[in-house]
Amino acid sequence: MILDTPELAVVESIAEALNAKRSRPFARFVSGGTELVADQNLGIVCPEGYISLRYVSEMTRVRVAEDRVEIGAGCTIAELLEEPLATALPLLAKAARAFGTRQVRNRGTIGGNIASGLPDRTLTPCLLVLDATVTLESGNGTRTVPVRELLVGPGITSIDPAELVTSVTIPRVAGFQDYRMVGPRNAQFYVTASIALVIDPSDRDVRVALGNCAPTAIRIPEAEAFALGAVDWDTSTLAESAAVEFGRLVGEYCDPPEDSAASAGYRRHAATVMARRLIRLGFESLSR
Amino acid sequence: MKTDALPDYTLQVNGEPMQVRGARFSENLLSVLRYRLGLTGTKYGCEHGQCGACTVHIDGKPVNSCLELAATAVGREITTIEGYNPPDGSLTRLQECFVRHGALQCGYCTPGFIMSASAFIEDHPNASAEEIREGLVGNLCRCTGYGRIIAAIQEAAEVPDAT
Repeated sequence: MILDTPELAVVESIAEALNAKRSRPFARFVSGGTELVADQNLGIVCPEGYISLRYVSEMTRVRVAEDRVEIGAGCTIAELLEEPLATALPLLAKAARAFGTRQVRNRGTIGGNIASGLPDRTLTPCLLVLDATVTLESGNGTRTVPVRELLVGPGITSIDPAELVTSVTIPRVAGFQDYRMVGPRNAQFYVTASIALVIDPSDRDVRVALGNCAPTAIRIPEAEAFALGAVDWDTSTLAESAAVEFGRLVGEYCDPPEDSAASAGYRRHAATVMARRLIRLGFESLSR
Repeated sequence: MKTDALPDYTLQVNGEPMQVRGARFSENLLSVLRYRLGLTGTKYGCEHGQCGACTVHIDGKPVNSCLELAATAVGREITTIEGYNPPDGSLTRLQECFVRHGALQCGYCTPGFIMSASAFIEDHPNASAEEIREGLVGNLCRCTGYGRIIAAIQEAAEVPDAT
């Protein structure tokens, strides 16, 4: 352990982190600090202690296999833009470019972005369309959960306070994958609305997810089912009328929040337009 | 009695060990640099990672010092604007470009811009204006409208043709 005081523990292993949590149940896990320390500075939260995961090397490992990538939860967003991850996970590299600022990307972590549970975080829609799973560890053992099962409500996850997100496993997909968002500026700490789309011609699959267009990031199965039936997979093309209908369904089946950033109607419209444009772009690039 | 003060610790700032005494566990690096170590060149802006006025380098990477728990920076190499400046009081090429282009008005954002830009141009020699705009997205200026800042950084990023 690097530092072991009643209120602040700076740990070097997962075992030390879980031990520190047992003796300081009031302390919050923190890694990059880009959400928790910001909230502390603004007076939104007032943690009675911290367990810093910054130097847990077990949680910064990356394993790139042929069919999947396992990323330690402590890997930073900046690492998604570098090799080997940028090539292995193109969707996350695209999203990372729209993620916060350079300074924030150097500190914010993949685990933290998931554990936040807020619907406006950048990575969750991407992890949903990639069917990612998250590994959680606690004193009671290890469990692996699909990202969609972690997301319960705005800022609410099924992660137990004693549990630690230790890694994320992401199946590699072929074909088109892209991310779009609307927001006040690239570097704002939230997105107004975002979308991730995967079109995998080898598996004949279309998957779409939205950020900040429902209480959690969500997939839109109604739009996916429609697209699966509408695509001509032999030529990898989609009629323009089907792209319009796909966008309409994405807008219809989301449940956007209404807040100071945007009205529910604006978010629904943005989701509709982004979905239509992105699926059109996807099939244009696949048929090229 | 419960106390939330940490034991004394040492931060390595601008190549020198600096003793921090009586800091609370929750204190961020920005606050420790300014109010305990007297290094007021690093500016206090939004305190939630939006404005970049507090940018410092930790192990060569630009980060927001307001989001860093100070005690977790023990053992890291911290560089502030005071350490970036040449010790003889002269200006770096980047700073001279800021002066030449008039890339500041009130100057409050300038230390953060210099720290961000110096790291950026090291990684992106001959960066285009577009690349600089994207790379410096983490720093806000409320006076200049950015045009002069981008022009200054672009000139500083130019690498003379070796041939």
